[in-house]
Amino acid sequence: MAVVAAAFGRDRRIFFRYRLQILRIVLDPLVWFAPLYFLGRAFGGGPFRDYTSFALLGVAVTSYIGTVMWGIGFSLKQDMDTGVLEANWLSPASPSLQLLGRVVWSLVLGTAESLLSLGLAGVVYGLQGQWQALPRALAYIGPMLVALYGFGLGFAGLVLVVRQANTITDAGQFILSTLSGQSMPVGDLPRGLAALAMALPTTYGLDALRTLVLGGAPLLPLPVEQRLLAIMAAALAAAGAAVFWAVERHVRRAGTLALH
Amino acid sequence: MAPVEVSDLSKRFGTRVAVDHISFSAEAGEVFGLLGPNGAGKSTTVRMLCGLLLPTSGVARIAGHDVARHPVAARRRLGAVLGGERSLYWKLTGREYLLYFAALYGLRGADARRRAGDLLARFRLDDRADELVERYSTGMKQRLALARSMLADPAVLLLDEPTAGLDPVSARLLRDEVRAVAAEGRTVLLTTHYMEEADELCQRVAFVTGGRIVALDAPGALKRRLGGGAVCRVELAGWRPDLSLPGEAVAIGEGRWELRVPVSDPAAELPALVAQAAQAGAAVLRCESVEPTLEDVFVAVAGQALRA
Amino acid sequence: MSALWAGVRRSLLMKLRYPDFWFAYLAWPVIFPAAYLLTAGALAQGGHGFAGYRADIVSGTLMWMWVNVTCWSVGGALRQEQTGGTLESNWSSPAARWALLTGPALTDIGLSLAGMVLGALECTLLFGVRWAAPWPVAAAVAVASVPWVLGVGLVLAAMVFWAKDVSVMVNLVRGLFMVACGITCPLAVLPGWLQRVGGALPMTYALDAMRGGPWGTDLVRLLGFDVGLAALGALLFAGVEASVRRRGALGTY
Ligand SMILES: Nc1ncnc2c1ncn2[C@@H]1O[C@H](COP(=O)(O)OP(=O)(O)O)[C@@H](O)[C@H]1O
Ligand SMILES: [Mg+2]
Repeated sequence: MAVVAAAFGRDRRIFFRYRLQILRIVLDPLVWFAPLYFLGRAFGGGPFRDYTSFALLGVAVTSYIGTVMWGIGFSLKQDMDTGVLEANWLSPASPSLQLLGRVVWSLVLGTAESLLSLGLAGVVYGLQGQWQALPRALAYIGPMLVALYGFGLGFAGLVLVVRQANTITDAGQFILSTLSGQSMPVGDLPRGLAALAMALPTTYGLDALRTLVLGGAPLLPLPVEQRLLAIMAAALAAAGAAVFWAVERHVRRAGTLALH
Repeated sequence: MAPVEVSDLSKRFGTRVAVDHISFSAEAGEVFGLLGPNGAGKSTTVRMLCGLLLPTSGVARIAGHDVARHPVAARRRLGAVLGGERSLYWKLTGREYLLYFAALYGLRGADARRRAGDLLARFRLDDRADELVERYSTGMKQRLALARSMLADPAVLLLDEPTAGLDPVSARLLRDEVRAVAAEGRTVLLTTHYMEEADELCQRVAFVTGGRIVALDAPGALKRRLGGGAVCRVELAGWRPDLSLPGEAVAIGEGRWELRVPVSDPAAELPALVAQAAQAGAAVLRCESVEPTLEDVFVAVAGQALRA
Repeated sequence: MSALWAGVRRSLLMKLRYPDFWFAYLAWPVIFPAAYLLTAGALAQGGHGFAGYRADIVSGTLMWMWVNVTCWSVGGALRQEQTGGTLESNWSSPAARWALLTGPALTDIGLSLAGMVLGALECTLLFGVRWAAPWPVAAAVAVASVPWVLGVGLVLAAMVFWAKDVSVMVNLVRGLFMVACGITCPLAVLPGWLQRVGGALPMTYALDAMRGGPWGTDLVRLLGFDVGLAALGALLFAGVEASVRRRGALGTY
């Protein structure tokens, strides 16, 4: 626990010392939302009752994907490049716990980013919907986040092996966000992609949130989505931890922790 | 059982053998040096001792714990400085940096604060402790890394090229710190390619080249191996292997070599050597006879200079 | 000049050695536009026509990607050398320093342009895009865009050098292009104040020409941006060089 708290505190301090990073967190959701918003306007909202709110909830939920991938993968790569990773890994504290601290901090950051983007967009673009349903949505968002961070552990492992983070982070975030139904109903995806989308926890988390806030029919009955999310959370957390553990062994054998 | 015990340790990267069946042990209170040129396998050995790298074969023990089998127990008794200033977080203050690592070593609350404060004072960082590390000088960064390695009150301290990149004054101050650390009964294992440093600091030195230990002894004993006399150094232009001159020739620049020959009676043998070189057709640029240094021993044992 | 070529060769070699090269240049330029095409498809079920939109979306997203890749590679290159320590070794060679930077930058821009052209072809085949501009116009726009894209990269490199943070600067610059140039819609859809911001960015005119606008005036404007941005880039770069000489390349990291 002390290890998790220490890593959390370290990342929090460092974050606030890079003042410009804060700017990025504030602006990023608005920037990425813009092409969707204008696309929606170009089509007069299409068949949606309120495409702006629809897409905005999509961006708010999928921004967690970016937080996980940038917050874990990219920063791990940075630590590797600067050389601090070795100093951390030669302490008796387990690397997975150290990473968990990083994860918790990025969770706080991601939540702040999502709420901020919802709030800002509410002002800039104007929103309708049952916003008082947000707390109830936590029952879905919570397990979704656990699943997502399990994936993050696995992704961290991938970064340690590939040692190259920019493109896979950028593209991975975008692909996963699109597949989760960020900008359109999952049902409108081509058949193969839709099947992939149904395997993502973010798809259900986002779908449940939209159903609760904007109304309409969910992909699957909500209790089923909740159960699916719980299963995915358990499975992904276990798988992510296993991958990271295996990669840790590999890195210690190949000695690739410090070079770049 | 010695605090550091290495037996038959090897590491292969693909087909390249970085460390080739080395064995040694280092005692409490001892400064033990691994001395060798770049690429000799020193850092690889140290990383295996830290548990950052798994050996291909062989065993390394820290305070009796097999590093590969019981890494956590071993790391509790161990401090290490590997990348020097590269192991620091630039956007933390010195104190925050130590407190963070204190938590990783299981210290908490008032204990951690006291320990961090003590170390900051000990390594003369207390007046700048609350400044961001990015404003520190290289010497201060190196001392902060050393302070970090002392957090766990370690029985064994591993230092990989601790004075690389430091100016002579900072390097000497750091060597004083290292001596003080060993005087507290800790084992210090350091790597270096500076022979003066090994000579001055280490009770025992292992010569490493090509992943093997080619000699291991106290610096004085190593020098006595040369026969207790002196070393003649003759700087030559136009040396060739087929001139069949005695000793080892070390390239020291464009078209220039230094011939190093251990002798017992320099007054007689230096002039003879100069004459012999001239006769063979090499131009003698400079000659002297000196007390043998560790580097002379290294050249004699390894047939290779420390600094290429 | 030979320094320029040495830089081109070095960065080509290094690029090909990264494992994600092929993904970045072959797959990514299809995936990115495809996501917006899919979204537009979902929206078009409301009855609006969609066919004419495809070219707008593909041209907008690909052009943005080109700027994006350039921001990362050119903007990040200087910083990478700065932190990695190769800046000093490169700059201590007698070669002209602008050549050392622009050589690799031009490789990056050329490579990513090739990637975007390939992406456009792939999209045409996969999604049946019908282009508004004839191909000589499209080619002219691409060629006329190389200098301003390079200029943006150089300006960004200078910004990164001062601000010491690649990801924030890249996000700011590429975000500006993303919001204000109508990459997924005709410029007319944007609110008036954003249209005015977009009017100050070269990509707006490149897109306008690609989407069947008056390409003659668009090209003239692009040439103006070419001169202006290249000059700005050169000026800022000279500032960086002066600062390196004064404070050392690594500065405060
Ligand atoms: N992770 C690695 N992968 C492959 N080869 C390595 C790795 N680390 C070190 N080596 C090689 O092992 C040899 C010993 O390196 P090292 O221990 O760093 O030498 P030293 O510290 O004595 O200069 C060198 O030939 C080096 O190239
Ligand atoms: Mg080394």
